[in-house]
Amino acid sequence: MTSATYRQASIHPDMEALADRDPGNELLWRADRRRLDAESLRDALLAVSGDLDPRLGGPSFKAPIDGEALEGLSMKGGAYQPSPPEECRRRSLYMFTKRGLIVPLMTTFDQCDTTVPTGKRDVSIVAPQALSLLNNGWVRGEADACAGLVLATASEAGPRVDDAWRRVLGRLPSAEEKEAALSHVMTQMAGDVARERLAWASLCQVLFNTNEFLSID
Amino acid sequence: MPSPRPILRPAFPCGLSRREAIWEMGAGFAGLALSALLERDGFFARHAAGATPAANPLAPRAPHQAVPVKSVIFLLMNGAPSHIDTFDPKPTLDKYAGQSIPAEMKFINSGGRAMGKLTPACRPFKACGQSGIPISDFFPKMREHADKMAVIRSCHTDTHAHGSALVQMNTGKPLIGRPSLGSWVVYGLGTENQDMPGYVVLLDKRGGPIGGQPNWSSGFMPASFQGTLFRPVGNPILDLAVPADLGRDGQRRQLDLLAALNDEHMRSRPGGTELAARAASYELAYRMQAEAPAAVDLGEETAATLEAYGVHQEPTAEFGRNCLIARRLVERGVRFVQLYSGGGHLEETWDAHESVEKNHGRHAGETDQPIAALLTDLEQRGLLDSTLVVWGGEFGRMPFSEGEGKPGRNHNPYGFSMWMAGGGVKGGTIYGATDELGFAAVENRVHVHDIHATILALLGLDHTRLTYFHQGRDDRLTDVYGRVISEIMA
Repeated sequence: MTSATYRQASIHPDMEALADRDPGNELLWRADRRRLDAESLRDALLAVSGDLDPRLGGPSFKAPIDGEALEGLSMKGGAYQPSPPEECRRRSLYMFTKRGLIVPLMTTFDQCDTTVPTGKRDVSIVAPQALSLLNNGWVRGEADACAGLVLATASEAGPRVDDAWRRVLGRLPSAEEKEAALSHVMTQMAGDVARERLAWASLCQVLFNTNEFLSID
Repeated sequence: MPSPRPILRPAFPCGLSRREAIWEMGAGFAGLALSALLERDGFFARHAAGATPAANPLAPRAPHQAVPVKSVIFLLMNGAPSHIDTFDPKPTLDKYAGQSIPAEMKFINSGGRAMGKLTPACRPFKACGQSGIPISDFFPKMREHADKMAVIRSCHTDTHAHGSALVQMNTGKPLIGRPSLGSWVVYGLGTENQDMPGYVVLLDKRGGPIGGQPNWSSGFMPASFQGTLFRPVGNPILDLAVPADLGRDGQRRQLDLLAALNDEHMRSRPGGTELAARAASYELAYRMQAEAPAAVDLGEETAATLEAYGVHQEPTAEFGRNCLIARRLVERGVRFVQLYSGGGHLEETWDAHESVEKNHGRHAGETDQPIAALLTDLEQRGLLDSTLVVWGGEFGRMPFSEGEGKPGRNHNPYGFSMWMAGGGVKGGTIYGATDELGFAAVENRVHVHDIHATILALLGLDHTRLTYFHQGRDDRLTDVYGRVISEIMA
């Protein structure tokens, strides 16, 4: 992991020319772009929203599972008791895994079968992933938490957009991006000040859905 | 120019198996001969059939052999109906009623339950249709479709416990972790309607099958092939509902902003096909949010149809609704639909330990009319030839009662019945037989692997060629087993 090759980014200043000579990146002239795996994605969502509990060690926690998802069990809701909410913000590393019932958000993002060793996980690209990141209650909750932090940082819209980009994507927005973001928040608010938090949560959620957030470049 | 490689690559150090390496070395005449040998061996076909394009793993693909069947509806009678009381009449039981099962018949007594005496079927059979297939009194309406059915009476499986047997009926082995039948089917054929999941599972309201998610799992295959649970009312798929506080317009604006941001990101990253694919998946998700609820909305169905399926009466309302949804899904190009009759445990399923009369009376009452209506409806709409319908449970039941004087039956994995109807099936046939007591399959025995091989064959898929490279070998639904029962194929 300390080699120069491993530490490359997935974009290269000489991208076009090199892509022509070795399109499959067989010679590793750049890093292969990777999508966040299920555990990293969950951790990232918690981290950028200020919710991640970094405590090390100790017993596992049982992540909450939607009632809808429990309907597949023969005992339905009776089969699964989630841990208290304050336990559930720890890293996914500490998540309890029941082999017959894996947290849907995790399988959606290709968490593998837990009963066999898996040398290489799939990286699928399917609509249910989009649906999860757009509609799932927990994901929206994190977007709301992120919005809360953004709103607290500044009182002007411009700096707030900068803050959202900085938190979620680790950089400042370009001029076009900033304009689009401001327009988005305005439209989602629809002139109703009570919808302010919702509008900023909507922006944060869009950032969660970007390829940039989901990939390791 | 890099040479073409199969998309699903074995994890060999140089990226090539020994066979491929030799092929690619192009060793002149010897190379040609080898290629021909490998071609005859089906080597290339194995690596091509089922190859998953990275952009869309569910794009429709042609089967190995062209057939009329496009979809499967698997009616799973969860809990295991008694074959002796449904599709396998045993007049000998009348003769030996009240006697003990012969000592030579060895078996596992599931749950260590009490053993009673040999007990005849609780309801009479009648020869039905022109073919004269005997069907129990439990299914007065299904009887009318006898000439469509190929009844297999010699089924057997490897385990006597529900959890493992359900998993075996669904995945081929009693251990969890393997892809389910529906996953293999969409892996091999993709699906016709890209705006809907290709593999849909409708559970019984009372609960899922024992074992849960592994029954519709994609196992070691990519998650895109797993079954999607459809709830029959309202928003059928998990996380499908557009959040109420945003509404469809609010979400559309999110998607538009997302597309703009992704576009910019992609511009500096040429060749990122997976980036484009992910962007496309958002548009599909947006469409699915509209299309999927429409599939379960029965508003456009006629009153006559709703009545035929028993949607507005008890006890057929729930299963009637599910059968009607199954027809609508198949109409919309969904590849594999699985319906569960019975959910949870014991009496909530076909698991008739207490009383076959009461238990099957209840569950047959829920399912007989809807299944008959489904067959009629498929036929009338010209869908029957392109749809394969499969009926059955995870095992059968014993010829002796459970305890003296108790009219229930314990589990029996050694012999049970299933039937198939629809495209490619030779209707009005009976295949295989159990012994005269209905204890074990003895003639033309059909293992679950054989059922699976046959279902795949009816879909035009050769079960020996539909493989997925996993843990160093070309694995398949039927592992190294499975025999296609051509006798029930038209």
